[in-house]
This record gives sequence, structure tokens and C-alpha cells, in this order.
Amino acid sequence: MASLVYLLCALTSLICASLLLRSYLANRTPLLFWSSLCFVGLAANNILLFVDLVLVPMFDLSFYRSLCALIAVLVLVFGLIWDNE
Amino acid sequence: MTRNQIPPDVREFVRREVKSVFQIEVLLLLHRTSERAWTAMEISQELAIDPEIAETQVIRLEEMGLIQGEQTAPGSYVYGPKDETDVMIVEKLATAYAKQRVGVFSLILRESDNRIRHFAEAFRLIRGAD
Amino acid sequence: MMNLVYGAVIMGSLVISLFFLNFWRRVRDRFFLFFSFAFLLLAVNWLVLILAGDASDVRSYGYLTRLVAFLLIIVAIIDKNRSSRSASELSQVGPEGSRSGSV
Repeated sequence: MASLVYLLCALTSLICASLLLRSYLANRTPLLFWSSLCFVGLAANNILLFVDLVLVPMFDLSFYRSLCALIAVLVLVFGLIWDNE
Repeated sequence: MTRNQIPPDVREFVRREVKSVFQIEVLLLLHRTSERAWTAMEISQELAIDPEIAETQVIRLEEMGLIQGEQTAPGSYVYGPKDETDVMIVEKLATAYAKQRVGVFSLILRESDNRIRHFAEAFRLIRGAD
Repeated sequence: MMNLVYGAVIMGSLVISLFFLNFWRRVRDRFFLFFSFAFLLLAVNWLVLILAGDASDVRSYGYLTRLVAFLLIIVAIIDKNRSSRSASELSQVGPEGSRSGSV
């Protein structure tokens, strides 16, 4: 059950990332690029969560998980602020 | 709909460079009277805008390389883009502005909103006209 | 160390949530309201996870908020695609100049 949740979150993130990337390639708005990266990072965070808790419970990937989330969030914060007019 | 009739390079120029309506007005004033030089005060009287605003726009336009300071009369500016491509773009801008002023306005007024809308529009699964 | 990373993630997520809330204010597209809440819930998710430590029953609350956050994103996408001409496009056709206060 929990693993389904993680996979759903990962899938949603990947869908968001691809939609944003598709739009970025059409519009070249920088925010779209950074948002896309953010959702890739969130997807990675959720996939690692799945891997960590379901596939390799003997290892603790929590540091790498949170690092993914941190990078994802920082990237979007940067994108939101940098080109703000 | 009107925006689509404005040439893409003009749209790109406005989106990238133009931050206010005053900027275009000052630029096009100098463009259509390219034989004479204007001071900021003269511009402000001609366009009925604040002298400070005219001053700001004139400085900005000079920084952008679209107008040049008149050597013989300091404080005066004359139309003269440094870049050849800019000459063409300003010509097209003048035409577009005359024919579709509101379309040009919408490019200026909502650039920052545009990038927000792009974000939301990105999530349309079926892409319509963007 | 983990506290540091989590703290930064939570803060970042709150900032993102605020940005989306501001976008909603400006463009009045409820799509951004959904996203704002989603990132708010993600912040709560990470807060619960770091506070819970090893208590797995409390951690499951964190994952629940994460699920709701992503469900909100899904709802936002569905909602965006259902309204064929969204509120944001309608406002483009209207007298925008009179509404926008920032020139």
C-alpha cells in the first residue's frame, strides 16, 4: 500500500516534469525549465523512497532522499526568484 | 488574436527589452523625428509626461543603444541605433504600434504574468494555440 | 545534519507555496491555489518526517500528507484540462489594462 503511494507520487512528479519540459521547449520561459528540474528531483526523491523502504530496507538512503528533495526545492526557488520582474 | 499579427522579432524585442509604455513612446517619438535632437524636458512636454520619467526613459534607451547623445548639444538625444538589426526592428515596431497599439501594450503589461500563465498552460495535456 | 537538510527543504517548500499563492493572487487561476496547497502539504510532510524520527506510525501521517499533496497536483492538472478556456485565458481578452495595477 505504502509503496503504491510512493510510486504514485513519483509518477505524478514525472508527468509534471515532462509537461513542463515540453512547454519549456515550446516557449523557452526559464521558469518552466527550473520547475521541470524540480519535479524531476521530487520524482527522484519519491523513487528513492520506494527503493529505500521497499527494495533495500537494509540500507538507509534517507540522506540521499532528502538531498534530492533539497536540490529540487532549491532549483525551483531559484527559478521563481531569478527572472522575477 | 491581435498579438499574432505583430511580427515575432518585434514581439521578442518588446518582451525582452521594453519595460514600460513610456519607453516605446519616447523611442518612437525620436524615431519619427530622427532629424532632430530632443532633451528630456522637450520630450516630457511633447508627450505630456513627467520630466523624470522622460529622463529615465532617455537614459535607458541610450544604454540600450537605440538613441545617442548629441555631441554638439549635451543633454540632447537623437535617434540612432547602434545595431543594424535594431533599425529594422524599430521600423517594424513603429508600424505595429500604429496599427495594433493594444497588442503591443499587452506584451509589455503582462510579461511577468505571461511566464506565470505559461506555467499553468504547460499542464494542458492537449496543446491548443499557445 | 539531517535536521539542516530537512529544515532547508521545508523552508524552500514554504517559499514555493507562497510564490504560487502570489501567482494565484495575480492571475486568479485556481490552478495555482492547488499548487500552493500542494507545496504547503509537502512542507508539512517533511516536517512530520523529521519530527517523527523513527516512530513509524507518526511517519505514516507524513506520507499521507505527501499523498494528498500529489493528489492535489493531479486534481489541478485535471481541472486545468477540463475547463476548456481557463480563467487565465478569459482575462487575456478582457480590458486587462484597467485591471492591472502594476505598470
